[in-house]
Amino acid sequence: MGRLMDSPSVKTPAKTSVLLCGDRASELAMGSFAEGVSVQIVPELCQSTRNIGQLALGATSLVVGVCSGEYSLGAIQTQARKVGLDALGVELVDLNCANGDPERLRLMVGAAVARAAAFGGSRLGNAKQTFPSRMTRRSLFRLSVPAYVSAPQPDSTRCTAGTGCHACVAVCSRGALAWTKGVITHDNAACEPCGLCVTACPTGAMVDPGITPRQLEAQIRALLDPGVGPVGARGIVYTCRRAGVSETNAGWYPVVVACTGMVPPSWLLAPLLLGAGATAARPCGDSDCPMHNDERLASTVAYCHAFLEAVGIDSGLVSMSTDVPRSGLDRRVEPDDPFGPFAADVLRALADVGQHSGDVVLDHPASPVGIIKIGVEACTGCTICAQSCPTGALAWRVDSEVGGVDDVVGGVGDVVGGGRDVVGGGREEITFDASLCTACGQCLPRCPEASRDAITLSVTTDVAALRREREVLFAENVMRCVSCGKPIAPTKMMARIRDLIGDDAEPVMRVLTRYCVDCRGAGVPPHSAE
Amino acid sequence: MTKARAKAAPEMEESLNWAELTLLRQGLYRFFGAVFMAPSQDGIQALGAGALVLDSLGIDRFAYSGPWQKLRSAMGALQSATDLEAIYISLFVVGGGRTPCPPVESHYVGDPSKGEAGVFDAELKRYYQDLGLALSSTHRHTHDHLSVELEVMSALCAREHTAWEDGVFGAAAGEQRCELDFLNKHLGTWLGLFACRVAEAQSAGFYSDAAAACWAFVHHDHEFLRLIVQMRDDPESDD
Repeated sequence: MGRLMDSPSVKTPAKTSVLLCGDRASELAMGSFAEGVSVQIVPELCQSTRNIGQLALGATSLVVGVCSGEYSLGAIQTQARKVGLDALGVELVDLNCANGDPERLRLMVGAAVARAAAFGGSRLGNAKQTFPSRMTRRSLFRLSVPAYVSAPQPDSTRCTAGTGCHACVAVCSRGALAWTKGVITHDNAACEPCGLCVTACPTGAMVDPGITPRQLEAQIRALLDPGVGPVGARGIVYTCRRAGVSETNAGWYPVVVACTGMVPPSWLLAPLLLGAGATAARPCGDSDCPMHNDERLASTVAYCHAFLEAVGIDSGLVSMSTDVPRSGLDRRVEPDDPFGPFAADVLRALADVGQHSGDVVLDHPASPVGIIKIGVEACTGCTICAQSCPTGALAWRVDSEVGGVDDVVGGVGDVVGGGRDVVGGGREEITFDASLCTACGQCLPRCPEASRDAITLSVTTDVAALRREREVLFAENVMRCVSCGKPIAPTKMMARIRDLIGDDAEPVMRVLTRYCVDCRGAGVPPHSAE
Repeated sequence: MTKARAKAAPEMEESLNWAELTLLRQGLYRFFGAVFMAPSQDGIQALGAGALVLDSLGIDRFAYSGPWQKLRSAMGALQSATDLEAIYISLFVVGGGRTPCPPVESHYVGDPSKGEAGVFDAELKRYYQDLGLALSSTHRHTHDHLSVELEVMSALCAREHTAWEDGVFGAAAGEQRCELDFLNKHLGTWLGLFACRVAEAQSAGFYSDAAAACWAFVHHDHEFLRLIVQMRDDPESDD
């Protein structure tokens, strides 16, 4: 087998600059990295960061390996800005985590390079200024250079707050997020970036530029690259940014997130499909932690255990501790977008790997997917649930022999798929795609008939449902305007209105059931279509 | 290097002096105040000189450095005041029947149809008087004009700077509270909307870069003041 020809001998300039503090890195023989990565060992880098800018000149991303807590993050970020880099994209590697193993160091640095290269840039508001937690007498004279951590901001192009979604607001324990007139506002000063809103957002619209699905995937794939690093099973352990990376056992590789409470089940399960021997998320154990997310993490891990067990996979592959990593799965399956907002693909892939033949139905409060049921007796077909579904898991269809469907209904269907379509026969349908449901529950409070159980959400993982095509939950004939032919409303809605109005309904119903909103207001004589 | 030296080195190297920091903030507010006044050849030269001074005060240490550098590039490409004047007028004075981005608070916060501009002007005049400030008679702008509000912040920072220089820390803290109050009630409430409006009206160019840099700076300064005041108010603080 021949190799592909190497590219012409035109040297491309280094794109990622890796600067390692020589106090630890010089002990280790750094191997070569991919083209475009320049590695320099800098004596006493942790103590003096002044040369970082000069050394990183021309780079498009920067990785800094530090070996002691003496370094100033603010000073490193300042140097990055000097050479035009986005300071929030600088990746730090704790060289102590290499445990003196050059192969391990090379793997970790390579993964940090991958994560830095996947950084997509930040926006105003993503930089959260940090200070020492207390003002001291000394700080009356001098302040340390401000260090910034990345904080989430809603991406208005993907945010569905306009339809009423406020899933991010519901999980914020700091009161930093608010929903006002269809817009999510973020108070950076109140935010203690924990990332809960990032993974709670059903559409992935809440973006923390330092912890994006793309970055995680890049870093984890690099850490699991069998062609690099020590031989043997590798574990992926999520660690809290606030607590810093502490000692990890050999064979375990840290991936920093804002807070391990933010880690959803799919982030713990996906690395197994990518080749990890095991995954873990370690609570910071910091009694001063303002997040108090340990319980949330414990529930997420418990869900992973239950799911793996249900599909016939060793549940010990996911844990909250870093014991010796296990050997992982027998087969590797590549899920689409493993760290994205939809967990269905990861769950389906694991069920395939587990080759479990029976039904897997798992009720668990941490389930990342859910099942919507519509009570056909109570539902009037108003479609508000589908209009408010952020992901398009719930959608609706109305036939339209007169005029386009867009004239009849509107909603979020065009944002994330699903939504509007044309069916024949004068009927309205509400449909459901379980693979798009994130169990966010945004549809529930908007249902006008919720008290009559017109809609219910089960926080349940049903693998068979995840594999099914979109299904029809509600179908009803639609009344049409006798004047212009446009749909008026489902017959069940008219029946409900009749019930609510009571005995005096007939005169009103005569108009309501015959004419659409436009013709009612247009002075169309009732006899014109009689 | 001994352990003790290693520990001390980064702190000495990278800490900030309050007086210097306040001087930088004062300079930036004044600089941006001048940017949004009607352009002149002398004014452009003064802006260039001022920007060089500000560069030397260590803007790289702050997150608004990126937008600032972009503005610096745009300033380098500036040709003449005449070109800038035409754009200034089309954006901020008149433009196709209506002003695309009026640089006045009352347009964004109040209801222009209710004639609230006068009310705003009077309220701000009183607010400035309470601070011991008054608009110079040579100034032709209203009290809620962006340049005036930025200049007010600059004046408050100048007082804070003096307090730090004199070692009167309580007075400096008091000035920071005044600055935060003004940002909370006025400048911080509408500058972001103004910057968005300028970006919509001029997708690239000096004024869109200037508005973006100004908003980035004020946004971060607002957050900085909130954090500082919040920490000082913290009962666990030992100062």
